[in-house]
Amino acid sequence: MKLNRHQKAGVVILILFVAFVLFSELSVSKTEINNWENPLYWNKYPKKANPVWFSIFREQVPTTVLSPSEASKVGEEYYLFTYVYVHRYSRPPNNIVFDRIDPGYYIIEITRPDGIKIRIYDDELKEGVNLNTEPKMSMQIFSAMREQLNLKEEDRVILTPMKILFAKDVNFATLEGAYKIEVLCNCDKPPQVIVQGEAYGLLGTDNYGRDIWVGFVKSMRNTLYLALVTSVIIVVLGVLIGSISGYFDNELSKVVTFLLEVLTALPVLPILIVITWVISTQGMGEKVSVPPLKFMLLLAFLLMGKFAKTIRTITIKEKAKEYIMVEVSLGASGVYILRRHIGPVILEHALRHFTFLMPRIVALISLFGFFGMIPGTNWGSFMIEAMEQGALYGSKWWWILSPGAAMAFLSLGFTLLALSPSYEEEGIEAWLS
Amino acid sequence: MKFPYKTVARLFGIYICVLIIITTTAGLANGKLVKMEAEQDVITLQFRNPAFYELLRENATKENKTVVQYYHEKLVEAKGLNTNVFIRGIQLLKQSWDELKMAKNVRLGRAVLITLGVLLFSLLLILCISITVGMKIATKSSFLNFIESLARFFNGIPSWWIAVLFVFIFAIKYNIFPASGLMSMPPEDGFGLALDILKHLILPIATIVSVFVWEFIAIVARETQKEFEEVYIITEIAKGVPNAVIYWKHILKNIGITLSSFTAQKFGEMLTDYLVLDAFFHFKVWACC
Repeated sequence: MKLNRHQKAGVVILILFVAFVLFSELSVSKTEINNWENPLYWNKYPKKANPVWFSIFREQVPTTVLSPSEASKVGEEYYLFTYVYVHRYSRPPNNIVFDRIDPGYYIIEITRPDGIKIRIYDDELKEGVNLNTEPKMSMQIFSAMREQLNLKEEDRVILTPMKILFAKDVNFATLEGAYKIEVLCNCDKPPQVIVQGEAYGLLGTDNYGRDIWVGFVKSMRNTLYLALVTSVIIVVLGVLIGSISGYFDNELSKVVTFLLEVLTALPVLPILIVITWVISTQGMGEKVSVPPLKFMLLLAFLLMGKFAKTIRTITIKEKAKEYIMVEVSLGASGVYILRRHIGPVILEHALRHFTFLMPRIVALISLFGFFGMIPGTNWGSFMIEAMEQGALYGSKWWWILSPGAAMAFLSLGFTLLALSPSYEEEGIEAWLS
Repeated sequence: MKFPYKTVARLFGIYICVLIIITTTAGLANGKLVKMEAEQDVITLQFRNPAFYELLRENATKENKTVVQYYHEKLVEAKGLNTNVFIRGIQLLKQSWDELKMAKNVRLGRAVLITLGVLLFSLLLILCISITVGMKIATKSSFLNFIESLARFFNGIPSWWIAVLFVFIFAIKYNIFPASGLMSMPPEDGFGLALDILKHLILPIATIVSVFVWEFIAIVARETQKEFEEVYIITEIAKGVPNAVIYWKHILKNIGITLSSFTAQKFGEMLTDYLVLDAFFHFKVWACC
């Protein structure tokens, strides 16, 4: 099959889209995806952070997850883990978080680039801790830097521990350079040290500190999965029902045709919403859940009417052609005719219809999600969360644009792919019907 | 001409079936509502009225049922609900209609008026643009292909996202139009009020128009193309009849039939999109639903 210029562009766009989907899937961990709806998981990440690529255009301190550069055993039970954080920005980071803590005794020391060493913690630790909320740490920093920065008692309330820790002089200019963080503990594994900045992740973070990119990937996965399977079901059901009811002229096919017309006349949206709610399960304090397969079958069943009717019409037209009538008179069976002669014609139409159907179902699913009509994370629910968290009025355009841009890209790919010469001849009516 | 009894009977049959499906769906919803109510009541009774719960449990055990099953049956009896799912659907639809009439936050007449107003205004704009542009590009196949591609492209974009984009650009970034609501607060008087409402409706109308206009243009262009191939039009052109007359007298009249059936077909989709935009722009005309 030879592709024209538009179709080639469509194929390239769709390949790029698939590559993007694969890259996104690989860029997030399963744990992050599973914990997207669990705000507790994200409490160690910076809240309302901008995307990390913002640092290219304007100065934004990125969030850095540190790994120990050195690990050595001290005595019988203790380990010393050393982390190095290089700060090259004119503003200090927002916080330092010590996470994935093994319960035990911890001594944490920070050595500034100017050589000042501050013991910020010397006590038992059972869970994660951070500089901004742990009073012992802020007290240690304040005491250690009091003389150097000429701090007054009221500065304890006014200045954040991070501002003091990263201050160069009495004017509080930021001290750039390598900060060494040493953790001595009777633990088996090193804690995770996160230096929280103003930027994190490809799409920043939301009000709970959740990585928006993770939400985008999760919603993309669900939306595309639902749309793809539903489109395939519609095409398969439509081809089977339409061709059989069109070819065999008996009472059963008349009933099927009548039912297809009923399906076409149904108000899909309200019925889908109500039946989805009826088949959903919900316990006390539990989330609403709908079995995806049931939902896809329901959606496919409600939407296949028009397509099955078109296939039926094509089958009737093909069946009336002379060469097929000759084949029938020669004794060819109905199944043979359908498979050998009518099948290829129907298949071509079905494939073309698929390119129209897939982006439409994606849009439809995101519409349901936008109004909370279907449970689970999808591009619609992702978007409504963005709106609820003020992304629209807070000018967080990357959050607002991302799902729509992905949908537009997918739609463009399928649009160009469908622009075959035969489509140009038949025109819009071919697929509008 | 013979009256098409068969077609009318078929249509009647189709819409009777649609009605049965809608009512049955309502019946299923009613069944679930009562079941959920029974489950919640039993949990509440367990803590608030343990004695009554014990009584229920004893009676349920006697009939070899769970407490929820037993309470559910009693609740259905007490509410006077029928066990037949179809009749139960009718009961729910009737109850919903009564509640809609009683609802204080929905003025039905106003809601219908605003909905129809927005839809008809959008439709009028769409028809004007599609007739003007569609007839112009009918003879230019590259333009027509481009418009048809746009129609397909917009088919895969949800209307709410276009609305978000418009609000972001025209309301937030440039502050030209209001982002939400039907009118400013406090409301203005007279002509000022009409202008204010119009200003608030521009973005929703623009959204509906930008989603649907491409399909309409493409339909008009294709139909115009077909008309130009008709012998009587070729004859008219050969006679030297001006193009404007041909467009007005013949083409517009003939494509009107296709256009009106297409408009009727698209009206349902536009109504769905309007309900979406109603919620997005906080018109709240259908607030209860």
